[in-house]
Amino acid sequence: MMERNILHIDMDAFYAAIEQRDNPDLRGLPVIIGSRHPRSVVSTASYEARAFGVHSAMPMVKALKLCPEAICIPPNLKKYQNVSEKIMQIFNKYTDLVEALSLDEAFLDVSGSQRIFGNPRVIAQRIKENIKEQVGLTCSIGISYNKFLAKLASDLEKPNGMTVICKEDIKNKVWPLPINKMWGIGPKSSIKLEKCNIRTIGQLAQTDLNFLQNILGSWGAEVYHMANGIDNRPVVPHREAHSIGHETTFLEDTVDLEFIKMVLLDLAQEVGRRLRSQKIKGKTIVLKLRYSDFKTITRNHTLMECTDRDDLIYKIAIGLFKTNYDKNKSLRLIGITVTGLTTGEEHKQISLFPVENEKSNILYQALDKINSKYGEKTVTRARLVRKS
Amino acid sequence: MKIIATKDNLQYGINTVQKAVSTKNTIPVLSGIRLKAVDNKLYMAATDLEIGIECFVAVQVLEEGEIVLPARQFSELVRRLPDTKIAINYIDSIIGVEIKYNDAEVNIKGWPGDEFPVIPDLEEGEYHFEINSTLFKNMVKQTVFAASSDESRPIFTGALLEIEENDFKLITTDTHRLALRSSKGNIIKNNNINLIIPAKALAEVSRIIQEDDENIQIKGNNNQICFKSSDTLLISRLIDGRFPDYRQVIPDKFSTVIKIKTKDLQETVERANLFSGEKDGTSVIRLKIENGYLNISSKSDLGKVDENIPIFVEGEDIEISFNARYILDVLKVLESEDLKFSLTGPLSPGVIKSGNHDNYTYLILPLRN
Repeated sequence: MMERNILHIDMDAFYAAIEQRDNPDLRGLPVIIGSRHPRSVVSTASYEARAFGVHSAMPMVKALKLCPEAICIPPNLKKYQNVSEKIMQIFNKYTDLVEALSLDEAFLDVSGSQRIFGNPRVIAQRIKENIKEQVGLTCSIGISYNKFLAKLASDLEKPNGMTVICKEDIKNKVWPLPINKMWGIGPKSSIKLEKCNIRTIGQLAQTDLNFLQNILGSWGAEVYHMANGIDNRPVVPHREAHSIGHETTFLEDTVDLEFIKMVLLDLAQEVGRRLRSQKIKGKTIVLKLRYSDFKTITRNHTLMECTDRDDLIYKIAIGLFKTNYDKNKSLRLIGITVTGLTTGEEHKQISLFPVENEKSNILYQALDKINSKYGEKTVTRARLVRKS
Repeated sequence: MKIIATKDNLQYGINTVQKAVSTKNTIPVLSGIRLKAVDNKLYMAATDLEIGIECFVAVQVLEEGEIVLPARQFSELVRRLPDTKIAINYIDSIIGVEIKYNDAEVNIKGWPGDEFPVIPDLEEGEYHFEINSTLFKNMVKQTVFAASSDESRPIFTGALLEIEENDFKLITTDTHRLALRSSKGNIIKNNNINLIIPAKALAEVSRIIQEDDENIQIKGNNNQICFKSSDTLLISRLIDGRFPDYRQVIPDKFSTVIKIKTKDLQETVERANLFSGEKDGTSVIRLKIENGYLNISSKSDLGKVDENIPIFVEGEDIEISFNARYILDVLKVLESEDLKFSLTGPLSPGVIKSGNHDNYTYLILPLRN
């Protein structure tokens, strides 16, 4: 296989940087994107805030303890999406193989772009300049011959960095890194590996493959190859949505079944609305429960026919809830996700006794129209109308 | 309770009732198997409150009595016992038993026998029929696979048992296909019934029917049904609701009828099935009937298949798509060398029947392109 040239581009403290760009008063100050609510989590922290040890996904309470003078700004996703679109347009100028991982992160395969734009370093440099000029932000770019190493590289010199990892660099740049820098090695696997005295990627790379598979399961082989610098995953442009879901963390942990049911109905309604707005349907309904001790379970149910209807999603979710909820524990978070998505443009199985009838389709169309014109939940279920 | 049993007999009893042991474990005693020694028989029973199974095996009863033993430990132990005389004695002090074999002894703790739910045999049922065991087993085999596993529409997770005069019919559908098997049985009490039995329960009935069982007895009321063979009893709750009118959806006129060797169709569809995966798991294959040939084709990112099978055909040319899995499912249970596949246009159901019998109908809905 021809050696590929992969860039991993990661915007520096994306949300926070946008807010600092738009409001000069915030520049140089610790900024945390996320609401000040005690149970919210940090979405992004500016580098000034990171100096205090604040990082994304940290509970807000802890972040504010570490950095009491931080300025909290509630996220403005619309704005970030607009900026993200502009950045993705820049990427697309250099190659059509752009795989966006999130709003602020993407893989680019520039193997075929060199004749026109120059070597990968030159392309990376030009992308950095374009982003600076057009959206006024900085990013860090990792350059390598596969996705794993490119992503690892972008993380090595942040912010505003550019790092190349080539085959010869693996031993001195990659192997000394701790194993938690590996893709797919979370805290749990880390602990398992550390118990076996595997602390660096280098040690991981030199471990026996069978032994690794025993510890990590099917993951073992992939991790082993990656640690040895082998990762053949292609860059896949515009990945289609695999699932549509919604979840909510309660203001307080709860055991109130009536309340939980109401929240589920609300979530089902939101998921249904999003499915219909994107004109897709899903086959599998997944319920996620997180208890107050953070133990998290997901349970799913696959339907015979795809659906986008709130009431059916709710019915399945409630069924899953009833059979799986441990009544002795209070609940912290609940979520509904629909997967197995299809646009219905593929082959559609005809049904003898269909669930869906024309009438309810028309009803949902009308409801969606009203709610998109007059605002969310202009028409909603009676039990979701909060008492004032 | 004091008994002496053989390993084989214990093993047979455990195997028979084990599928009914509750795995959800809401009530601890339901995770057990109840043993009851009476009259030189050991009755074993298990239930998850959806179905209950009771069977008996011959043992030497030295002292009558009962106990519930944890199913997993008891069955795993028996499986590992040597093939010798096994004594099981109740021990009051631990509410359990000692199991003695050769010079060894194992103790298992359990629950008092009277804490276990009674498995009623519905002797005073509202209806009573009997049917040849092998025949019934075959009826179940040819229908049960087409039932749905989607609990959101419970009716389709069951099979409709319809008895009118001496005509016994078993019907299942998951809304994408429908299987109907009819046969004859004997009426002992009440002429007509129309009940929905959980498909899972029927699969169990079929499993516990032994080669040498002659007839199986079917008794029950509107809430529960029980199946009784010579040594085993299975009771199941019934599914509440109305099964849709299956007669209305089975067409009787067709524009194309083909006859084909079951094995030819099966082998071709199996090959086509390898390259037919869609994102949502549907295996799309295309059937084209033209000039005395059945052309079957499929394609996926990984490759494609295109085969022609010579057939006997009557009627119009046609092109139609099906989910390959639904076709393969029926070919496995058809038990006939030839089959008849009848079609009417690309959006109407196809009907598969065996070449020489009229007692089995399998209807399958096409895929819309």
